[in-house]
Amino acid sequence: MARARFLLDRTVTTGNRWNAPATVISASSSVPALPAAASQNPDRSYIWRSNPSTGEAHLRVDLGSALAFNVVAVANVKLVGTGVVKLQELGTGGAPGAAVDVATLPAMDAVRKITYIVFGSQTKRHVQLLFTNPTAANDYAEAGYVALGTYFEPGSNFRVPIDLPYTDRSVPRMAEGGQKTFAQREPVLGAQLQFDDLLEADFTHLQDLYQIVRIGTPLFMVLDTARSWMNLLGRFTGFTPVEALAPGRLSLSLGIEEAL
Amino acid sequence: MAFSQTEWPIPQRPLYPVSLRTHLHALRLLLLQAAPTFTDFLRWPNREVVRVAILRPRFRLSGWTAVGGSAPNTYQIALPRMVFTALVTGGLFRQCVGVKENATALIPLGSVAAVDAAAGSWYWDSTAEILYAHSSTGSDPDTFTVYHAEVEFRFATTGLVIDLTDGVATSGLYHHPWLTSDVPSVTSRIEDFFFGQKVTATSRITLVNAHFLWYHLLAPDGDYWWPNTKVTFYVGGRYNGQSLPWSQYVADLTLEVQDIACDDELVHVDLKPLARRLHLEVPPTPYFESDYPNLGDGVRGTKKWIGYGRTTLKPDLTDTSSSGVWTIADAAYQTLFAVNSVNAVNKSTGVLTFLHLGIDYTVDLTACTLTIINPTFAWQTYDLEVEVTGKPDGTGSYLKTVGAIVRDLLVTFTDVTVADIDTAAFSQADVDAPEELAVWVKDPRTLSALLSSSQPGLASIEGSVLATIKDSPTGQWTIQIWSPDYDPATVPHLSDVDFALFRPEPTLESIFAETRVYYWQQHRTKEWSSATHANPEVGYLANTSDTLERYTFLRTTADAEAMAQRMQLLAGAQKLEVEFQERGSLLAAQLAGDRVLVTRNPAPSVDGQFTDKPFEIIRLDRGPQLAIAGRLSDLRGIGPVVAHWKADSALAWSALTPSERAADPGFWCDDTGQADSADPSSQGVSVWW
Repeated sequence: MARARFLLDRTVTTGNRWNAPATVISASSSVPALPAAASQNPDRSYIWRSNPSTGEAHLRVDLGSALAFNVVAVANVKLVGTGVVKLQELGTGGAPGAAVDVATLPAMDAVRKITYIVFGSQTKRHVQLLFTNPTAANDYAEAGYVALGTYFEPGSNFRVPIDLPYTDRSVPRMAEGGQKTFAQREPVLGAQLQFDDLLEADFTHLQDLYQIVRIGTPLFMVLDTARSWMNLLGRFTGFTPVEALAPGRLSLSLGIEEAL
Repeated sequence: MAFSQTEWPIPQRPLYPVSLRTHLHALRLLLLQAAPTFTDFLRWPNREVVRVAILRPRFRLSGWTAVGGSAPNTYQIALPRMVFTALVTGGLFRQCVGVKENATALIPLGSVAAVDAAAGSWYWDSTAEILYAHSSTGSDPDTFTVYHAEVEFRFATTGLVIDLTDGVATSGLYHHPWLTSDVPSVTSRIEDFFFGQKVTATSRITLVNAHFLWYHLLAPDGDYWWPNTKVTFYVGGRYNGQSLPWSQYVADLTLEVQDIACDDELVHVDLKPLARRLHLEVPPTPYFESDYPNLGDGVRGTKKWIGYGRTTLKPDLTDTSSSGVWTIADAAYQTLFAVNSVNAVNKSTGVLTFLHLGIDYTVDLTACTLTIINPTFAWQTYDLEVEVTGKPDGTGSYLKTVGAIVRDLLVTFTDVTVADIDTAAFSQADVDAPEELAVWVKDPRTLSALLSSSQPGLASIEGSVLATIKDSPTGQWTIQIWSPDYDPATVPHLSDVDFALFRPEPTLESIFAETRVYYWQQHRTKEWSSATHANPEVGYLANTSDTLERYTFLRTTADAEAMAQRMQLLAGAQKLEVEFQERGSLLAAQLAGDRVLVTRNPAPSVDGQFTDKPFEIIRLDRGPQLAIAGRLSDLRGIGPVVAHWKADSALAWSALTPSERAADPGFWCDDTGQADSADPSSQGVSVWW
């Protein structure tokens, strides 16, 4: 099983290129109240939506300068017709050049509602998400939060097997005869990732990451590359270092929960 | 169909590929799944409730520039639709929904050309983010005291995109999840017959001060103004894997901002019901020497009459410099339809002398004044008694029915506009309650008391015709005339499984053997006429001789007698009230005064059960997550007694069971009042309302 990956590097300026301060975003089109910049907002429900059309749609960023990235993740994707969403690069010049395919994102997981893909490192200035429309359907694209950058993978994985409990906060009201009606809430996936005997450099990296995002900012997390439902947009809920027995090692209990 | 262990059906090999079967199954499900509706949403046992709050502050506009060219009458100003983009990534959507020139609302139009052609209009190009306006005079809007836009911000209890026009992708709008779960708990209540519905809501809601954005929105030196602006709450959500479209969201409360402030975490919004504006006093205008240098004795400081319908009153002597000029009503708020007759009242003897128009007096219906021109009847010796007809209706008659009068009171004396009036409801009220009223007021009262008060000696409009005046969930003023009628096909049904609590509480209070309705007050002499209706049987059974007394604005004896009969029927009945809590939210869209049919076993009834028994909601509490509780009344105990028209094939009294008789009245009675001449127990089972 591949090790856990956190889809944000440790400092803000080399973190999520998609919503970095220097990034300028544009789109092929946007409905009036759902602009392209919504995809830069970690609130995944605040989406960008293109105008309905029979053509392709794109979300494009100018990173300000050529920056390295090897992963893209998108939450709350809606494809156009039967098309797919591709990551493309448009060069390193001041103006965007011709679009070149980098990778095609797999279908979004229906439960976690994210999709991501890792690819060979690219260093480009202009990048776009292209929503293809092979059948020229009169349709529109949507994208929630987007992360573009490099990922961090600790040298050792969290302890397995892992418990991934769902928290269901639905509230029942009961009739005199026992029949129930529920005020429904979305279930939230959570977990306690137990990292044993991390190299101190890995621990420091995770600590730096935590100091940046704290418990408020969501980030994409890949817990199992073989199971799409285990990859989520989540938050840290706690960060508990534990001194390890081996010298130069630290253990860490890292709480996470899904960000709805 | 049951199977024994040896008889289980043998699985058949599918005749088509599995994948196709899967697709067909999915297609079948798709075809069977109906479009989501609020009614189905309420009935679903597992649903996510989403509350939407729409806030409408005013935004001050200054710095207009002339459009010129092909639009010489039009001015423009930038009005971006996405604001606070530096604070909220992606920005906050702000929609322009109105423009006012000082206190006057401009007319919304659809293009710059249309605005240029119509003075007093506006158009917001949301794509170009420019607001266009053509002022009432054609001059620069900046030359007016203030131009302000009514803008709209929308928030919800969960972040979601809603297409404001169902199915139109370009109308999608994100509702930021900044509305905390403690939205107003609403209680809708009918105090008493003669009071209107009272809506009370918890006075404060909170929003999340995300990104400290609200420090900017609430800056006292900023351009947003919040006091007395409306906040409307809608309820909707998701169920069965579907989201309700916006058209299925239901407005369930509109309040006004009393005050709003924020700290680093939360925004605190103090809200007040729309009815708070009814606390103003009418009549509004006093007499003072600054306006009337020659006031008569005892007039100074008193208020000018306001009035609707026909009445007899003593006008105010407002000019003693000649034989006397008398003011009948406040010309700032009305004119008069007619002065029907004038009598001079001798101050010493009290003798009345009929006066002749043009000989003894003249009348100015616009100024609402009467001038004595015959010195014989000068003010020194005579007072006047005037029979007058009040405010015209603009179509050749005068305002005299409850809907017309209340609508005019709201529009004339408050800042309610015609757009804030449920016009259809007010017109229907005039049909349901055609009684002519005479509403003349001189002694100061609050408008709310004028509408609904049970104070002895003071009439109320609601109490005169059993009306309920209320603000609707969307913030419009509406009115309803009480009747025991209901449409079984449209009212909700509740049964045993729908109740988390069902607690009947027989109410033996307020039973009267006699009702006296006071009407046709003579304002000069302060005398009332009265009509009385008694029910001796009630007196004996309830051991009471109490008389219910109600003062009304009714004018005719026939109307007063009918009202006395109705009120006595209501006041003399034993009532059943039920305290309840719903398991679900079937009554979420109802208001106090609405009807519901209840089926329950056991129940306090002659046969021990309710079968579609009609109840009136007299209190409805809507809590968070649409938790519904409240109190039901069995239509004041008279519901089963009021007759309804039935089909010719309907069964006669003798063919029905006791519970059927109780649940479905409508029996013609003989001269003795029996539905079945051979059955004395059928006495008085049906009455004419």
